[in-house]
Amino acid sequence: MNKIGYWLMGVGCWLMASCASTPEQVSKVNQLPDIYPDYIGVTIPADIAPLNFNLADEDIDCMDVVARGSKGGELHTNGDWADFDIADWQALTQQNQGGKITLTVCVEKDGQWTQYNDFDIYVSKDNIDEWGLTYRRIKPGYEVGGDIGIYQRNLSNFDETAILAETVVPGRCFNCHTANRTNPNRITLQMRGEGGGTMIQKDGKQAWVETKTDSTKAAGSYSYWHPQGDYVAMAVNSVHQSFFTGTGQRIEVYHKFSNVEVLDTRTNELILSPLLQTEDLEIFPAFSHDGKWLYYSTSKPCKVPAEYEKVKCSICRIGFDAEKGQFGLQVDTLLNGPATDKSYVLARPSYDGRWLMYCVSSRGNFPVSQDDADLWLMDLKTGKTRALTEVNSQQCEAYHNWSDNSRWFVFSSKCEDGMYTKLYLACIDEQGRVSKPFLLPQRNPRKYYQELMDAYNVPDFTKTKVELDAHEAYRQVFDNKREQVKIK
Amino acid sequence: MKKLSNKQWAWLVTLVVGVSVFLFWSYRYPFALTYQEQLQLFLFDGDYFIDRLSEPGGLARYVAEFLVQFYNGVAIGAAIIAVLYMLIQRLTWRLMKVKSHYILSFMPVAMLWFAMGDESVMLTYAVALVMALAVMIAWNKLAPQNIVAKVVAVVILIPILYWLIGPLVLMVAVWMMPLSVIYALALMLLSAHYLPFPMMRVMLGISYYRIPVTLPYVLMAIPVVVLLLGWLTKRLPEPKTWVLTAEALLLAVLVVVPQQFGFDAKKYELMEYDYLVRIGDWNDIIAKAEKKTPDLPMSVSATNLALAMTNQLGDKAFDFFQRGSEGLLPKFERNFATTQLTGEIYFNLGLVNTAQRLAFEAMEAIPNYNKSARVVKRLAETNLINGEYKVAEKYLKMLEKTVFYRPWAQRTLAMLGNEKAINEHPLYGTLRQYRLQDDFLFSDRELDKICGLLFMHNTSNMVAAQYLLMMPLMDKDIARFMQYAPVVQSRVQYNPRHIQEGIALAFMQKRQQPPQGVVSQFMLQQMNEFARIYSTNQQAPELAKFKNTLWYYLMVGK
Repeated sequence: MNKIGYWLMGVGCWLMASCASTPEQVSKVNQLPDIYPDYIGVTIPADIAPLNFNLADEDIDCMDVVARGSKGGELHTNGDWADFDIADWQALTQQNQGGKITLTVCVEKDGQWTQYNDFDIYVSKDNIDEWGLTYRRIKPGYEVGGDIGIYQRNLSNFDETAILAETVVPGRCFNCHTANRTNPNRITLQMRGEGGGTMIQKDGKQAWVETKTDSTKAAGSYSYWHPQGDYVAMAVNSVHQSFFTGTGQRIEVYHKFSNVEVLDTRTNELILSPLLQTEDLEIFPAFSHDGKWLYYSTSKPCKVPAEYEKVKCSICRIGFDAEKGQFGLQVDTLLNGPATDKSYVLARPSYDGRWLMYCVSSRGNFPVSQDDADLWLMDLKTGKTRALTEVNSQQCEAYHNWSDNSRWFVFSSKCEDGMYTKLYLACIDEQGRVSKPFLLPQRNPRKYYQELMDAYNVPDFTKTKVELDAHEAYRQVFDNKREQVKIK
Repeated sequence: MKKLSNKQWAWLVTLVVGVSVFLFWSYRYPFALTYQEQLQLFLFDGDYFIDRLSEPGGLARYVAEFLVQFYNGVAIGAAIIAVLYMLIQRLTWRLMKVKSHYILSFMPVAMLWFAMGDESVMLTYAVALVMALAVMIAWNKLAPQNIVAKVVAVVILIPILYWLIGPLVLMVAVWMMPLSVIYALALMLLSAHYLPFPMMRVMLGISYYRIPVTLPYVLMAIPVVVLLLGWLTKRLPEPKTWVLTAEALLLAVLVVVPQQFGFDAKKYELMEYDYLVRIGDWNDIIAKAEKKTPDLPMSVSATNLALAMTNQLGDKAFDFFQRGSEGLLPKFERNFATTQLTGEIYFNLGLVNTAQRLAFEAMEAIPNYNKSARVVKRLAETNLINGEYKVAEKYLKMLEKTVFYRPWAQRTLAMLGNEKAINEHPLYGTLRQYRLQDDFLFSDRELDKICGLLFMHNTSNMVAAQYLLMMPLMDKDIARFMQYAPVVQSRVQYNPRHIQEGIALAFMQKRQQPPQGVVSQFMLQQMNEFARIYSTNQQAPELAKFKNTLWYYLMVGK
């Protein structure tokens, strides 16, 4: 829905009558309210949109919620669901930064009011300091892309706008949008198939390049910017899907080959290293916070899809000299997949250089298709690792990314239903303690998520609103003129 | 008897055309309507309305989708189209503002009728046309006389109307004040800059045609014809008798031409097959195939599925045209119609996950990215069978907001989590038992093996057994067939005609006699006779009497 839609929706909401009775003759029950999303005990930044919620029971007549700040302030909402005013909510959260908000929920059902036990929402002392999120919305798996799109969402309210939607470039599959350390003055975006290419936008100016060369097997994807903003690391691969016939799993995503390269966006030259152009599958590169290391995953080649269970990735790193545009001559293995019978993928170093977050699953190099994929954290000071049990579930957790201040991270999880990935945010303190994550707020969360036919993937924070001229992208895609990159 | 007045005659002609339209859609191409209905998911929901209204032409699209949901009842759908056509004609007539040349007012309708032979033409266009004509007539009556007021009215009305009906506003703009078409065009271009669509799509109408960035020329010509009729007819002289006759003749031609040339009978035949598969009317499919042998991939596959569902594939497969094992399980193609049908086959085989995948693929292959009520229903079913109740609930709650799927959705919602009810359900319970328990990756190069696993997993899955045995036969691979036949026959009693033909042939090729009782004596005699004729002349006309046999398919193959 575009901006106009939201305007109309606002008018519609205003016009729609909702319940407005106030609690009287309230009976108390000694239990917490069963709310959707589960915001009980979560930690939020002060600059987040209201954490509206519904009661899990859909047959209620009315809900009355009072939110009181531990440092003062009070907010009241009454209606079919807890729908807080954005400005009032943020005034309350700002006032209670470092404290908590206690919510009292009363529910009317069949003419009888019931009050549940209060619960708390903690307001972190750390702001998120980001304008919002960017992410791709796509149908959950399978081959036909449909109306995929890259969207951005203002985290302070509920506004979502398309950065680039399939309706603008019909019939094209695009993915892997990447900003430089949440700053959208540098963006890359890959388009696959006919009219494919790599868009590199620097300071608002689009350039479309062809990154496949005679010496590399395919165009680049799964990009990651070097912090200085001149280099982009990419994986060069061929991604495929197969589908399970049984009762447990749905999809296996695998790569038939994969290497890692770095594109110098100033000269459109590819920097290759024989250590990253091997028969093994090097994938998902990410630069360290200082740009001196390039993390990536690697696995031994297998006969996929038949041997899909044998794909076990290790996380490695190689030095990178930005001055000379050269890779180091040695690869360090940080986490050894085959040795531990696990697969370690999607290394994402925090921007303060303290942590390395990654996915662990029993197999594969595409964790979002693995039900057992979990998030883990490595302390880069000590090398100690641990599972992020605070955020993991029985379903897949993946596609994590850090906020610029490295105090917050966003990730996708299928924990609700096993099929549709949704976005969660959590905070991490100096000791690596992680808070209970909260689902990306929506104005009417149950309705929104129940009717959403898309899964979220590749989320990232964005410092400011992304400006991308979609019509220019359309012209570039269909003109099909690409500058050919060269090997350095 | 009292003579009919001109006015009554006019109404009578309109009514006759309306009835013709109704009969046409009801009886000649009813399945075109059910086809249209499945390509949308109209929700009675404020957000859905707002979502539609957030793009130009949104109101027309909303009204059209509201109407199209009734296409599930073919008679209602046909009546809706008939009423819309009659409205267009009567409004065109009012616009012409002459008492004669009544027949000419049917021209836009005839053109639209012709255009709607293309299944991608959306009803949105017809609704927008009605709205545009209504505004033009209202303008005739209510337009301010003062030029300043007129300009102000145009400046205000055109953007509103553009947003409600889409690019047909150009026709209205020309009618209101010819120069205002520049204003309307400028507004369209401006909106294209901000809307998430290519400019050409905005200019041609976002929802007039299902395939983006295209619009049939006939639809472009209709506004031109309407404007010409509005301007020129009052300049025409009073018609003489021969002119009236010629106009009547023209009307007859305009009514007949769409039926003969605007509609691709083969395409609509496939829609009928698809509909019959959708409702599981297997006997009707077979009856239809017996009347006219199916020869297109989709109709062949539908017929084979119907034969298998009625346990007749082994007896009757070669009564019909066959095209190899792809006629049993077609390869995946990125379009709605074939993918959805292929999904139906996998669903009935018990490959629930594959059916779910193809349902997703089908929906995403709809060119205008609409959701499909039919697909959402199938997704709810596959998740229900798989025990994924949270996901099933998501889809069922959506279907609860529709008119036609609501009762089913409510019944099914009540089943969620009720293992006993689902296990005892005649379809869902059976498919649960058919599902393979071990996960392995689907491969369309090993379909016979998958059918074999399905059968071995549950020997009451006779659809899988039939597909397993017929696949090698259709691929003309007798050796592979002879690996499968004993496996099936050692587990269930299954020895239909084509299976016996295959076994008899296999043994004859080895110059052996089949084991006692496996092939009937009559069958052996038949095969000997076929072999005798074939050995003397491979093109002998007498072979025609064997054309419904496996031997003929394998060896003569015409």
